[in-house]
Amino acid sequence: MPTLNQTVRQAGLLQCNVCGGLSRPPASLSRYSVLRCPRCHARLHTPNRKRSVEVTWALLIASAILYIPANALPVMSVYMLGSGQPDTIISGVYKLWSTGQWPLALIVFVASIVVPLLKLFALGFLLVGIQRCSRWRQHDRMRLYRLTEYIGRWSMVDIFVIAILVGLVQFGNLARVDANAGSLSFAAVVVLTMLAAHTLDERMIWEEC
Amino acid sequence: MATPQDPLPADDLPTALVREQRWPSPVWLVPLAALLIGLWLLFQNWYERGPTIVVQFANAEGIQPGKTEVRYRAVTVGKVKQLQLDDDLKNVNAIIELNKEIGRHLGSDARFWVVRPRISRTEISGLTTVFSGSYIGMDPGTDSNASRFYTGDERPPVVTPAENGKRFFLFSETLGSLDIGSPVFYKQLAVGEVIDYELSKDKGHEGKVRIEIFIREPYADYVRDNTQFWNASGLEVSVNADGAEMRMQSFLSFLIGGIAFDTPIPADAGNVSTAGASFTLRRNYKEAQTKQFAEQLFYVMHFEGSVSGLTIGSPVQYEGIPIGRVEKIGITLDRHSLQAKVPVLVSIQPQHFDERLNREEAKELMQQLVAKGLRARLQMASFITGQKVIVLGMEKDPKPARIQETTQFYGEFPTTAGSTFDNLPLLAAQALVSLDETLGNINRILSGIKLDKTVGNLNTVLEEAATAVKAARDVLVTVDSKTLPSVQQDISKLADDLGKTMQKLQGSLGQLDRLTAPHSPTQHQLQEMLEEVTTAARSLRELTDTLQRQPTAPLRGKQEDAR
Repeated sequence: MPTLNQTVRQAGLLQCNVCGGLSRPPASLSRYSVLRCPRCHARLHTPNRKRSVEVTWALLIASAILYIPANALPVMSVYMLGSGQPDTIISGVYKLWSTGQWPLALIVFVASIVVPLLKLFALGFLLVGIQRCSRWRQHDRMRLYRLTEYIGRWSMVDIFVIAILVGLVQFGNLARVDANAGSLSFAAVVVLTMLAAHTLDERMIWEEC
Repeated sequence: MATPQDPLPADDLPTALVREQRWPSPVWLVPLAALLIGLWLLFQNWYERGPTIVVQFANAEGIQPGKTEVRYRAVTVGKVKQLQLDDDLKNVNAIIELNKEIGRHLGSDARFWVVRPRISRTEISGLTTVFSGSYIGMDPGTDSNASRFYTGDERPPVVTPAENGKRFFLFSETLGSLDIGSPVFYKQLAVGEVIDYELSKDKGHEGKVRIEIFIREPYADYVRDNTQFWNASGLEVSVNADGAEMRMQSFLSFLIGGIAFDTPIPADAGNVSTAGASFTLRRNYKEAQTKQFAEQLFYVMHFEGSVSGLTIGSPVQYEGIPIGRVEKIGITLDRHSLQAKVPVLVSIQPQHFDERLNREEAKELMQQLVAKGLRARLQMASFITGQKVIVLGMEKDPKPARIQETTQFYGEFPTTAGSTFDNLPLLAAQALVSLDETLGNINRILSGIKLDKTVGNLNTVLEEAATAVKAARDVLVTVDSKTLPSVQQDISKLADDLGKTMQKLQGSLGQLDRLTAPHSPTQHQLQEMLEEVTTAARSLRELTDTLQRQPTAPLRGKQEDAR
């Protein structure tokens, strides 16, 4: 008896994400086959999970790589009255902390270090779960995914602050703010994790293998 | 698996399109690019990292770890990472991270110093650091053998490394009023500075002050092999026959001291000196103007009598040209005979005679000159100040002598007694006394009767002569009449003339008689004149007495003796 809960997949059919058109899988599938919707030619989700998450993996790995220079290289240099130096994220946090501004230091630490790191780990965890067809706490994993996608954008605050300061504070010898290579890496990390979160198909959390 | 109740008949559905894709998705280019970019960034960061060095400072005033920069030509080239106290707590080690470019040029002679606001009598510098905080200045040095450990300087170098020029060394007996930063003048242009001084340990200059100066381009080329440097500090006043002369390089040097140099005309200026060449710093302009030669011969001279008026530095002259100077005046007492000897050590620069002479030839030449009669003697240089000089001169009939290598180190130069000029005041007084006596005698003769007697005697003599002539005439008449009648006339004529002459002479004598008569005006005048001369002689004697007591009286005026 077909039930209302029967998924398209359980019915042995394929549904296009774009136009919603149903189609039947071909009789035989090779390992490298990519299925497309016969109506709109959009890509169809296939049981081949490795293929379906590879975009997310690629973006995630890229952002993980860039995370290293983003933290190792200075992101911003502030010169006041001729003195100043480039600072990395960690050294900036340490400076704030040592001057007693620990709430501010905490905010920067969380927004610039913890959140991107958490995003990387969360996405990696979700992807591994999807690939292994885990059925463990699917609701919580779904919540983790939503959280990741939501807070990811807030890491861009740092980049915006740097961009605004570099644009505004240019008073020659009195005060000057320069962006350094680390800020570009950091921006790339944030953008790539956001894209990775976006490309992750959360429905696969629920899919059976 | 569709059942008949299935609302969607599967058969109606189209089959999904199949496309083979063997290659991985192009999205993997993104992590690849990220990887490349990340690696490149890290590599660049690593590559640009320069050496980490340790610079030792006496104190870390104004140095902040993580903040204080190292600058070269106002460009930031590094940063102090950390400050550590030395093990013995005497110094501070600043651990400095330099960047790549400067690391490539870092030499073993690199210098580091802390730039702070600094106000000295020669400069005000580092004012920018009042606002920006201290920084560490550096000079990367000349070679590229980077070392890991450097000792920082206490003060910035006077000459910034950006300036082109040459360094020279000057050797002087004393530092005078010179200081680091004192200007160096060439034709009264400030062309350099004193950058360092220290007590010399160089061979041949022990105990002298070694002054390092820096002369900027293009003036450095005016320093030649025979350039003369002299201390131009303050005011130089000299008084000579042409009047008083005053020399001052500039108001600045008047206040803070300075060095001036001059090079003779290009024809004999010599080669352009290389950096690091050594020169002698003369004490003043005058000393710099006299020719100086490298070769010096030392002799000991023993003079008879006092050497007062002879000082160290008194010139040794030959034909009026100074060719040496007195180096040392000592005294040795013979314990047995209790006779004191005053050896005077002099240095002579024989190259005044010939610049090509070498030491051995010069010694030989001096020996020859002495054999020919060259002797040293003391001579008064100035009657006013009583200064003496040693004069080398040829003696007319010298006792044979030679330069005796008697003393342990120096040959003994033969001397001769000083000229009469030496004791002139004494001699003049003696001369005046005898002159006075003589005049007195003359006076006595003139005023007494002796002269009259003498004249009387003279008269008798003349009378006798007249008789003698008369007798002779008689003889002649006889002779004439008998043997020489032709001559007779001549003779009688001659006798007449003689008679006339005699008459004239008698007249003259009569006049002389009148002149020397006891109350004649001439004698009176003569007496008055002699009195005048006596008065003049007395005042001259007084003058010489005063001079003997107070040689400086003509300069300072007569001073009453302290009772």
